[in-house]
Amino acid sequence: MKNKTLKKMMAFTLATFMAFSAVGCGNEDVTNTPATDATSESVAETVEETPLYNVGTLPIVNEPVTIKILTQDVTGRPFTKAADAGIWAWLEEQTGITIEVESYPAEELKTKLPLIMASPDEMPDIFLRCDFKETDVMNYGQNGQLLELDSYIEEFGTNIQVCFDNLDYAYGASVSADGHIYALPSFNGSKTLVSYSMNKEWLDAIGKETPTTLEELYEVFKVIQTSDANGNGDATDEICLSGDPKTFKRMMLSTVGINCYWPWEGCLFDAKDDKVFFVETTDEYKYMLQWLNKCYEEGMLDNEIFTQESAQLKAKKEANQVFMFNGYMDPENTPVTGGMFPVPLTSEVSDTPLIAASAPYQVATGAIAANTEYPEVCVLLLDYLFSEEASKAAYWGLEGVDYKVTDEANFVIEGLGEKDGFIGSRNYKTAMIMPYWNRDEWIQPATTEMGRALNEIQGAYSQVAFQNYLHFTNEEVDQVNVIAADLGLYLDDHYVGFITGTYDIEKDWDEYVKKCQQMGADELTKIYQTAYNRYYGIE
Amino acid sequence: MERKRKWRNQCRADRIFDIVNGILMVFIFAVCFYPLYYIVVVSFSKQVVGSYLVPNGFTLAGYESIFQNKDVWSGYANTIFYTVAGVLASLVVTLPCAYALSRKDCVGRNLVMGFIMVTMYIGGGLVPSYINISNLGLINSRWAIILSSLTTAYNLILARSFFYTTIPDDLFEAARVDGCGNGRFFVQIVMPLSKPITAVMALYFGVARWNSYFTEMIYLRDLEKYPLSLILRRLLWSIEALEQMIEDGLIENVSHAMKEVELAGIMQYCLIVVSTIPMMIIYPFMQKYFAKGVMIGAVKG
Repeated sequence: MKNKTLKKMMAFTLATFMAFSAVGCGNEDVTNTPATDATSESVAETVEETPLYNVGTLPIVNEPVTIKILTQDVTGRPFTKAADAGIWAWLEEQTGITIEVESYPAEELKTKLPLIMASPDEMPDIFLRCDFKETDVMNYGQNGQLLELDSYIEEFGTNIQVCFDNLDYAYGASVSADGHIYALPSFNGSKTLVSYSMNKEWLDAIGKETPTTLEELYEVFKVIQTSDANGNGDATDEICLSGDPKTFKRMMLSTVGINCYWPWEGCLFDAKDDKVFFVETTDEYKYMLQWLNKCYEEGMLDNEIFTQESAQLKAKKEANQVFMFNGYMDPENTPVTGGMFPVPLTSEVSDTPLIAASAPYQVATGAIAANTEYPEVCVLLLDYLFSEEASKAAYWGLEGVDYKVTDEANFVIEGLGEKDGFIGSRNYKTAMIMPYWNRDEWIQPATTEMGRALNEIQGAYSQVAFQNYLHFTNEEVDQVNVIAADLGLYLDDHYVGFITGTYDIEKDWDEYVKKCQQMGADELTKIYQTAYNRYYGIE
Repeated sequence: MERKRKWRNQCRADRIFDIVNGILMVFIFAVCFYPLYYIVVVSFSKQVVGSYLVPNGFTLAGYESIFQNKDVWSGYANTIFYTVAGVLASLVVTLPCAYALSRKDCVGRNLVMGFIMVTMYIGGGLVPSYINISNLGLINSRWAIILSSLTTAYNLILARSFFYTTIPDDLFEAARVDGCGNGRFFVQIVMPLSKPITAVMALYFGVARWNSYFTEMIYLRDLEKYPLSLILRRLLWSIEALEQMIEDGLIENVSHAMKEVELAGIMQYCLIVVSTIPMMIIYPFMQKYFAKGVMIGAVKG
């Protein structure tokens, strides 16, 4: 701060000096003399009296300024460019900024981004949705490629500050492990969760109540096995339990009270009473493996569970051959009726129903290049995206173009334009190309029976897995990667092996736990604990 | 008749050899041919799943949607442009350079050759190349594509070996006695004698240009400048992205999205067919040169 006032004063003196020395040249020439950015701006402020930008009011700029934006084509359509979205024109109108958009599909962007970051000439002013990893953001920030936003947010970030005040996780989601903010997240308002559904019609057919524990579930499976629960005349085609290989493990872990959503690869951690623990050597995990092993041996578990692709699983689900799986089949879109969400199962080792959930935000969706000519304007533009009207436009599209409001009081909307039902009621053209803060009250009520049931279950039992919140330093990431690479493979091998019977849970368990520790499980736990303490401010 | 007699005159071992040989050849042919056939079959079918020997439900929807797409057409035009212009530029650079380096009286040719050889083992690296192109102001320019891969060390060495072995020094001596300079000798005598290597080089460079997508992806920005290979990539990625979106529950109307994925899957096969046809047509004519090109490499490295 001090430095800044000093700079301004110097600039002012410089300007006066120049004005004196350039007698007869006129004001215009003074402002045009080649000086550093800071000086010329201050000169403009002091001499012309019209500032370049306005804080807190629209338009953001008083004279046209061109800002280059790099973003992603997140449409899942090959030839639809984010650059063509209508929202840019709307933003230009609102802010007075001329926006130039460059956009690529995710895969292309992934290859191009490091190159763009390395060549200052190609850098945009603002990066939106560039899929920066957290550690990348910190590296780029510390290398001086991305602008450190801390002081700018204090000075210009009116909307962002409102967001920080309203969402308790917002600041934590924005700050890197070194305590600085280099990029801003998007706040979805909704979480992604590992939910599972069962088939009520099957239960009715075999005359059983909805199971509430793993043990009861096993009894239900037993009956399903010997009966024709799906009523197609074949008593042998029923699969009791299946799922997507990735999500399945998280789904089963929640039944033994362990909350994991992330990461998909490597080693799992959970925390209880501020103590982080390594999941895959716990007794709960062992109990889960034993239970799954029992199911596998008796043919209740889909024997393709570890290998199947989504198309295969989909075919089974659509043929009404699966009783319980992660996700659900909505009777309005699929031939399978009878899907329902049970109260999350508990078990002998856990008595709290639980659904694992992701954090309701995505990190590092908006960042600013450090070498931009107009850092203040960029910050103001980024900040504007978190305002009510811009967030609404970014997330839901433009009223009258992309949607119409059917219920003014509760913001219930109906999609307009291309009615292909993509991404809910949102318009795919605007959705997900920029950061936003989607307010809770804008979330649309579910349109289907299943959707409503899911919301209810989610509201009652979902908990955000703590790993979502953590930030790691570079050294920590390096250490984690080294250990997790080998350990992850070992764990995956044993996870499958214990269930399919390649390894004997009773006989090999102690050996397995010892091996995990040898391979660095304890060290990993320590690193996670450090990151945990840092996030929650525990000394 | 001739054939029959030949068959009868063969001894048992020879016959068995022929039969086994024939079976093996048919097998190898089937292994090579089936993937191509499969792609054609799927491109005409309604569903990717279940099309093995005949299309699972015949339709032209895939072809319709790719031919209606202007990006496919512009991609096609771009690919042809990059290939033709790229091959010409590559030949103009490679052949004279290779010839000069093949001449024993070329001063410092070992040093130059050394520099060229180094690039076979150590590349400039992606980031420096990108910064270089960026500093030249060629990002998002078609020139970047033509100029960034003008020649390769391998092809240059191949051409040099050819000149080295087929153009004797005496020939130049004789020409010089008649008052012919270096330039004229190259254009009027060396080039007409070097048709095979010219064809081989054109083919090597041409195939590489036709299939290339990475350079284009790195340096180009506008969809209008993208070659067909990159359009195909985009299609592939978009299918993956859409499937991921469905899996993540981002899409409400799943059945509609699944249909879109299905169609994009078919389109992808159609695009493969369409993009390989020109190469398929050219190959039989160029095949003899292809074999020759490999032989040149075999004699002297």
